[in-house]
Amino acid sequence: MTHTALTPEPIANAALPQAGQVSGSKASGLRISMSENVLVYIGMGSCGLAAGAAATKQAILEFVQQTGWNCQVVETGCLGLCSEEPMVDVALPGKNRLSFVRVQAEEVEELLLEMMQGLLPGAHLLGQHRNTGCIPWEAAPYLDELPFFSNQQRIITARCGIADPTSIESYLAEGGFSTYLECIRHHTPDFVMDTIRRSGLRGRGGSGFSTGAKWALAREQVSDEKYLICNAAESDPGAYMNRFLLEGDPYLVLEGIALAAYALGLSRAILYIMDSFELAASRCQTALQRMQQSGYTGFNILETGVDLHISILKMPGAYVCGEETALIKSIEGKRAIPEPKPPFPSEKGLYGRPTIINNVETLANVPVAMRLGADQYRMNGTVDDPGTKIFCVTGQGIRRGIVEVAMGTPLSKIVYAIGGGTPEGTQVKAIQLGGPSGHCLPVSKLNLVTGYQSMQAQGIALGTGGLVVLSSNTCMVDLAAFNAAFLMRESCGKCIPCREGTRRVAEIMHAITHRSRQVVAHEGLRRFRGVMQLRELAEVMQETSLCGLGRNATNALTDMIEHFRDEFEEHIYERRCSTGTCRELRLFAIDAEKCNGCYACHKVCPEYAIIGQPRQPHFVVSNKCTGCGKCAEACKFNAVVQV
Amino acid sequence: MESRLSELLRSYQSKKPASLIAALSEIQECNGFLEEGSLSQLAALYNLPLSTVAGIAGFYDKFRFTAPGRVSISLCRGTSCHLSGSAHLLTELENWLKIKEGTTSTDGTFSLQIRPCAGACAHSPVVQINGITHRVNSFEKLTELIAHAQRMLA
Repeated sequence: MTHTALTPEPIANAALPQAGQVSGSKASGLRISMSENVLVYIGMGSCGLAAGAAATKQAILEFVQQTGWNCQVVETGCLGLCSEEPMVDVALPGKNRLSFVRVQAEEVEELLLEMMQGLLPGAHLLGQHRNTGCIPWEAAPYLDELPFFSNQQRIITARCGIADPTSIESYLAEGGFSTYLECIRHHTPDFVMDTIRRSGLRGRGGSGFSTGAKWALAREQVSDEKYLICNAAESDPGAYMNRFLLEGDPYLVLEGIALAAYALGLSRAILYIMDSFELAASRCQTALQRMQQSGYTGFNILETGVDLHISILKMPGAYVCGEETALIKSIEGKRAIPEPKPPFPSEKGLYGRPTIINNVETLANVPVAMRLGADQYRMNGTVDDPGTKIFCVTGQGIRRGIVEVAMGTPLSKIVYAIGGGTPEGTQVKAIQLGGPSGHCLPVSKLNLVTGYQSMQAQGIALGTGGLVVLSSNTCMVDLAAFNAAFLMRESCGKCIPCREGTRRVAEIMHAITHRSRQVVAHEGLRRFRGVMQLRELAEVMQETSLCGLGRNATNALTDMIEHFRDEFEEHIYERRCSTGTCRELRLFAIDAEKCNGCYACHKVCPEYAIIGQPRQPHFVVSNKCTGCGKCAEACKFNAVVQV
Repeated sequence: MESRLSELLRSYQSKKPASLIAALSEIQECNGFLEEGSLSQLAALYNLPLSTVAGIAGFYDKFRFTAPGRVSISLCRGTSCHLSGSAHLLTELENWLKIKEGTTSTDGTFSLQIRPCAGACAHSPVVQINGITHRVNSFEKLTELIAHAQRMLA
């Protein structure tokens, strides 16, 4: 399947199979929510599966088989409240749908038994949905009144976690593809182009470049072939908005691709996806097949004369593929190494032909903008940044997951009102926005409002939407070291500032957060010198790197040094980590009064750093200690203490 | 195995250079890893120097050049997992299994590698054992899961 898709060169279109004829009735199964059956939904996104949704589903199926309960089990994507997975929804006929959280396999029976009797289970209950024409439950809160949902504006993610992601019938029932059909039947490509331009949609992949303007650039080009690529190779560690959309509502993205292809006058489009996103890729594969069967792709779609072929390209992917030119190289079967711009891909891209690369979220916005119309679409968000933005809230907050808010929402609202802040006893210390090459904002800057333009004015890039909440237990220096090591690994190695710079930064950060293994002359001095060079190094990298990876590699680091200087100084001068995260900086000592010389600590120490005579108090040779803490675990008398 | 591989290679006979990465992926799927033999066969097929093919394969983290263990452990090292202590888990795991990240134990039982973000940040730290993602709150839980996977083999 994949390798046939790998050669999107301008060759015979006829090789592709003819799409199936449109089936007579699409109305069958449309009213899934009004079904006579009991419906049991289970959230099976990547996050749900990690929390044990597969076992929960198995338990539900077994329960249904044993009791003979007349119900239908439906797999959905994730609702966005990922930290509360696995989620199970039950819709009794004529009653509002109920959502339950943290339902593990062993708890299924109790829950479903109560539901079978028509009772409202108290345990695990999150709340009820609003279903038109259904009777509400008296004691259940409405989902849209819970702080997690009430502060959101779920437009793009509206169907995620609610509907069966692979069912084309449910997508059609909710008006899916109607905009596409209307456009290809009654409107010109210019109309689509104009609506998107007027909607003010900006690329959600991080650049914030106007989508309409980008499309217009590619349309002007004269070429025998042009390409449209939907970039689903999201590799920011700690963010999964694109996967969430593709797992929860693949049809929306596919319709976006179809509309974009129509606007650009193209008949071929590629969905470029990382092959490690197995679930997202398989859901897209299924969705695409159903689209083909229903005649929404192929030749002469529904007798309109419009052709469209979407191919799914599963690639190994790399962080640097976020750079368009690198992504193109990888499709061409080469190492993903960026090229200097200009020429921009919209002029000269894949196989030297004009290529448009749009992010998954950008394309998911397209059908919504077309459905609402430009003016209605602009009602959300701000004048400069219309629409909504999906954020992936992870880290140490209470509620973690996928959040969609209107542009112009303050970051503090996402962190506190939606995310619920951090667990008791800790405070929010900062957030990291846009991954390792993004920015780090302290609490004082959380009043910033989201938006590509508004944040640009403050010198901050909104990025892809990864938002890591950092609590007071986080060691910023350790995080900076992690980011540096990540970027060093992901640097493609083409340009020297990035290749050598990321390595130097990683080395310096490693030296700050670790104890050196060998005794190096003037080790302390070298550390100081390295630290002093950091800022200069950052400047050189920002100014001279070829692509965004190198240019932005030190953004978060500079922010952290600026806002958390005391933590860096503590690590550098005092060689101490007050949060205890940098384990190698921990120092242990033995309380001579408590130690009875049992040798337990001596035996476990991997560095032979504990010496002493039998039945005499031992002591730690601090030069040799690597801070692993094994001695403290082994001591039964609490004689080993951290200093 | 050998015949499957040559059959696979034959199916790539007429393909454009762009399909090289897909060919590498399929060989890895078929064999579990890329051996030098299949790389040179592929190089001959695409009329490219072996160094180019190896260079492309080496660029992408996904491709491996040693056989995976029967229990294949991939630890997620995304930001969220790091904040929840995946670095310490990795060190402890390396000490426990007595293998380094990116290698396979000599008896072929375990292989340990780090993987890119698994998309389950809300449940961090997470580990993938033989393709199934688990949440690991503690090192004990992790060793339990590995022992379980090992028992499943028998």
